[in-house]
Amino acid sequence: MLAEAAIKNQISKDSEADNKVLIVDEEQTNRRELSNIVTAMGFSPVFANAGIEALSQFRKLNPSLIIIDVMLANMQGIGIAAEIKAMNVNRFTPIIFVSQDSDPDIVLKAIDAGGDDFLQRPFPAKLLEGKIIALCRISDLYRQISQLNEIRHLETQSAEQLFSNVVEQGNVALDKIEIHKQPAEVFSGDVQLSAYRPNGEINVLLGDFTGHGLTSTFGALPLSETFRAMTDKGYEAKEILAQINRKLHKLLPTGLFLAAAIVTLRADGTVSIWNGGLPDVMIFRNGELIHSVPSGHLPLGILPSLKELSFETFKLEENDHILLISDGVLEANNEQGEMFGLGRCLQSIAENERMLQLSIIDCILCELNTFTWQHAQSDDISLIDIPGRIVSEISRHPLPPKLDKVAVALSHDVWNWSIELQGQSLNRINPVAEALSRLQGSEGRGERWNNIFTVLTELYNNALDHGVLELKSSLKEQPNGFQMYFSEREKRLKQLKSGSVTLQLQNTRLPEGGRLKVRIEDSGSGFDSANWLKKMNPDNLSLLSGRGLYLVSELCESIEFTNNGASVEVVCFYI
Amino acid sequence: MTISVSSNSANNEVNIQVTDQFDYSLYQSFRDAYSGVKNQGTKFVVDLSRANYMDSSALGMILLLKEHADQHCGVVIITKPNDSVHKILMIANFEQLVTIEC
Repeated sequence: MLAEAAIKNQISKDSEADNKVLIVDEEQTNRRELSNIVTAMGFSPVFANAGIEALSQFRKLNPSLIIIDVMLANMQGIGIAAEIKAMNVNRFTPIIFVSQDSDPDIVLKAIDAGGDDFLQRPFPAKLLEGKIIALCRISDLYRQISQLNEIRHLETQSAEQLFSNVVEQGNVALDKIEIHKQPAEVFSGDVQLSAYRPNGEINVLLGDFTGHGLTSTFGALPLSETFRAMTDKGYEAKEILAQINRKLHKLLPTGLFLAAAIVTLRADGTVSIWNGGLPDVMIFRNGELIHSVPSGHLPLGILPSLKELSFETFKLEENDHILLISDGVLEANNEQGEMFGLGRCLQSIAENERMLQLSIIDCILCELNTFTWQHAQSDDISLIDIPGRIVSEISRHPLPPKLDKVAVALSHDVWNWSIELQGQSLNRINPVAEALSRLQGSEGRGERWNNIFTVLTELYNNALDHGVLELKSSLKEQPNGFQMYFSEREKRLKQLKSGSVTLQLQNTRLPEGGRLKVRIEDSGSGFDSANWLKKMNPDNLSLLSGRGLYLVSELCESIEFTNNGASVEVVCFYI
Repeated sequence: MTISVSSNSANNEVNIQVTDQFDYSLYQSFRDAYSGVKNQGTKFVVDLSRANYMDSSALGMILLLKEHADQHCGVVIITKPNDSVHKILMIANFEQLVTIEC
């Protein structure tokens, strides 16, 4: 008895505003009987005859429960239930049918029309009371779920806004890179990022977090921030990946991780690709798949630190395309449960090349939409198409400012910084990024460092590749030379036990900008710098090697080799 | 979509068989299959011979199982994945983390 009282109390408290019960019955005796029962339970009864009156009372009074006599003239009761349910799709108002007749066909018709329960006369009051309590419980649950859904929807929407503002608005080169994103829910577990390095190279990342929806985006903010900040400072892809992995491992609960691929594209079309857990990264030439980079690594965020990272390096022609896709593309299902698969992808691209000249992404999407038709999408779908050449604004170097000897002589603001790397630390630490962080930290951020970054990178790579690792540039001129050069470089770096490179900076702050003296020295045997300086002219730029130093000489006030070419010193100005 | 568990206490082995789709809907029952097993050195065998699909949240669930096994000095072995399930394990390079027996 006590429990029952508590439930009744609950019902009347929850539905104070709308604790009406609509009784659709034309017989006075029936009305009185039903009205007594519901009044005793704390509801206010309201009455209606069949037809329009019942519907208009329902609309006007918004009752919490409806009791209908099935046997209203011409079975109108059933029609009323159907109409009420149809105009009430977003709410749940229980309908109980009452009838003299227990013909199973009528019961079934009543339930089919939207009735929630059925009661045959004569019945004890307690029976109706029990059914009302049970149905009210269900409509309370329904109300709670609707409220939760609404809250969730609002939260997801505002989070989605934040997400796209922070994560996606910083992307660059969107006029050249085509990105398609088709989330399975408001929120996508897929993340697409692009950013320029200070020397104009572009880094592009496609990431696919475990699952989809809100939880899969926990890692998206730290991911995009790390990617952008480090690319901006000039770190290389492998260092960026190592840092992202560390962060995600620390941040994400076990079981959540990021499958990702990263592409670094240089202005000359050299591309380095790393893939950890995504479908093959593909390179297309004239509609034909000419190269695939399969996943060779665990996804990010699983291990505390990444083991050896291997990149594939490839030389692209101008009209080539790199295609990154998430598994949602290949695993999209049609009505019959078949998967879209790689074959259909490739076929659509090959056919398109002959006939339509759509973009790669458009023709895959055409094929995919035809294939899945209206079958609901169960995973996020992402595609990124990167063309073979992207020349960033920032890689067009403005001329360095003129030398101002007087200002240099008068400046009393000078600092020195240096780093010496020996053996394996050359494989592990990127002194150029360290130097750039130092410069940005002491002299401010901005695009002023783009030239300096190019100078540092070129000189350091020369010292490391040719001085310490003794790689020959001529290797690049052979067929497949680029891949051979870079895989040989990686191999030798891993085995490195001795050898060193020293990088020294001297910065002199001037009234406007500053002067930077850079000295880089390696443990190698040097090279014929005199002969090289003689040969150096813009006509030789089409060669596959030697362009780096030419670029450096253009960006600096002076360049001087000593120590048989194993040391180089340059002076540059910046504003 | 079901999980069935059989354990053999004689050789300290728990066998978890996944049928049909191995995805997020099995999260709770997959967890229940191992979370009570706290014997040291247990061998957790995930039998995928009857699973026809696996998604990335299932990979996450395997990581959770591995964490549980590591805490109790146990091992995780994945057996008999079909071709498409095996491919998903390979793309994620999970052979570096757990033993996969075809």
